[in-house]
Amino acid sequence: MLEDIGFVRVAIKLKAESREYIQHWMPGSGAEEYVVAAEVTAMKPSTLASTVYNAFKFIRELAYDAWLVQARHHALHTDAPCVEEPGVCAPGPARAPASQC
Amino acid sequence: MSADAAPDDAAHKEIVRQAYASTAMNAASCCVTPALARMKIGYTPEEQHFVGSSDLGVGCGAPTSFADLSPGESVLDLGCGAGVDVFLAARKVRGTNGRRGRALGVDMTSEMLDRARARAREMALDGVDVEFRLGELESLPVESSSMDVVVSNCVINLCSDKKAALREAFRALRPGGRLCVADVVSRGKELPPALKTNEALAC
Repeated sequence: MLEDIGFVRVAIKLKAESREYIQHWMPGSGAEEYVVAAEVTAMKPSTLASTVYNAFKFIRELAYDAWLVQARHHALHTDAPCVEEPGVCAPGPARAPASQC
Repeated sequence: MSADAAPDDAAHKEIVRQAYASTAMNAASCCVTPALARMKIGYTPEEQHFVGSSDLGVGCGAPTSFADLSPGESVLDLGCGAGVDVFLAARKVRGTNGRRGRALGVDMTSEMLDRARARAREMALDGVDVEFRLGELESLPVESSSMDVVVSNCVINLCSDKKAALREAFRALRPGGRLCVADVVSRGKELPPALKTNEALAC
């Protein structure tokens, strides 16, 4: 069913130990003889556009982390304001540059 | 627990809704794993302590334990109930350095969502947006291609139209996104009549 929908890399891992808790669900029904818990994983296929987007996202986040490390170091050793202070110009995913930047 | 569609979808859905509304209000319900047996489900003692009363014992696995979640990711929980897996996911996708993760739970039982939202207010997790929406798995109130990961814990088996629910999960996932589901599957034996009633299938 998952592959029909379009998922790829479908994997199903049965949990034999699930018998120990399924037997409590409807005591006396024997449900544990008919069903077993499973871990199902699958993936929606990547597209070229999504691969390129993710690569740029990774590079952007890496660059931001590098900038953050040096900005904090700079603030520690100079009288520059700490990067966490409000109003400080900072690039990055959740810190759009302020208008005065 | 059956792959076959129930004869009356609306009636089946209403029975499921009522059963889980009762569970949300701590009334007696079937398919609840006793506290002592919950260790086998897959949550660590520390995780059980963290989620507190949002773990109602109605899951059959721990999808966040094999979803390989990373900070900053967005996670959707199908049939989130009182929010146990949403909170565990939220803790794993909490952003660092200003990035925010996102954990979204969808459930069709408003009583469950009331509990989940109350617990979310108590927890007040930083660095992550936690949200709960009322909706059905067959028509998710979620934007297309917006989620990195879709998880679910013992809920898809309750849907009479499982393919529609999985198709919606596919739509909600961004390309390259992961589906991580804990659920029950058949051992290949025909279910006896006692386990084929709407009440049993709502379990």
